[in-house]
Amino acid sequence: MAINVDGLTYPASDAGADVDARQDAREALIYNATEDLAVCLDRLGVSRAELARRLDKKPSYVSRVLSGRQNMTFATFSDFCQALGFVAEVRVGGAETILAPERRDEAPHEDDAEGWTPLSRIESVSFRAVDETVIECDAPQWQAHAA
Amino acid sequence: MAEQAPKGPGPAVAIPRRLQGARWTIVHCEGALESLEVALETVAANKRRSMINGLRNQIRRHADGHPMAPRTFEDEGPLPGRNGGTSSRSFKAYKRIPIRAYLWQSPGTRDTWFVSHYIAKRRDKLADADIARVGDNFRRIEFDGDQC
Repeated sequence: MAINVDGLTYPASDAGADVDARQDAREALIYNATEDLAVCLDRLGVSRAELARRLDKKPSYVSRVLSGRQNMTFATFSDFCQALGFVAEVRVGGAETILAPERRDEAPHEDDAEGWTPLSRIESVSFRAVDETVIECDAPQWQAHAA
Repeated sequence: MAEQAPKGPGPAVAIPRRLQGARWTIVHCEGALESLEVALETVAANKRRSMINGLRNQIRRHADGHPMAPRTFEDEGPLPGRNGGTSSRSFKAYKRIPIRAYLWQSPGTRDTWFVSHYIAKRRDKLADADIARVGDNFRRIEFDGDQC
């Protein structure tokens, strides 16, 4: 351990840079996931005992998971979220470009078996409002969304 | 077959003296990191890296403006007032058993929290010595104009 002008540093382990980086990333993920759940519990006014009751588990189990001492699986994370009325979501940080949803108007069309035509090839699409919530259009619904 | 990662020293885990997050800047007072070094002596050697990592995660989360659970980020005690009494404001603590860091939101430096010092303890009760130490650092920085 050393302190320099930048701060406190800790000697790297002998396991190797990749192992250290994996460990650091894992701990950050567990910490932030359990902290998010703990904040939700607090703001919803749900006690750990109540959450345990909803999960049909012992309070000590909930405490163990929320402390980060027990490795939380996706299934456990989903269960906790569901018991609080939320939907668990997982995001792969940094991969947004790779995982961006495909857009219909970027898909091939020439040989498409269903024969749909990208919006860019449609010369005109007309819309008319039926009421405040329903829009009818002459083009298929997906084209209306794409517009 | 994937190439084996080279063995050897990995990246050092660091707690920076000053961390600029998306919402707050967290600044360690003079002597704060040294107090962390002392506090870490109570942590088993094989758990120190994880402890430092955990503290860094807490500081980062706070600095980025994410909400903190009260069990790990609580109001602890009163800050000093200008006229010798106590202020209506409190200082807080990052809690990561057995280590705590005492810190306050600066009334004088915009969007900044100052970490006064770290201690190792297992009891919840706030010690008078820690109130006094935070108070000294608070007066030094907020009233006397020291940088950190």
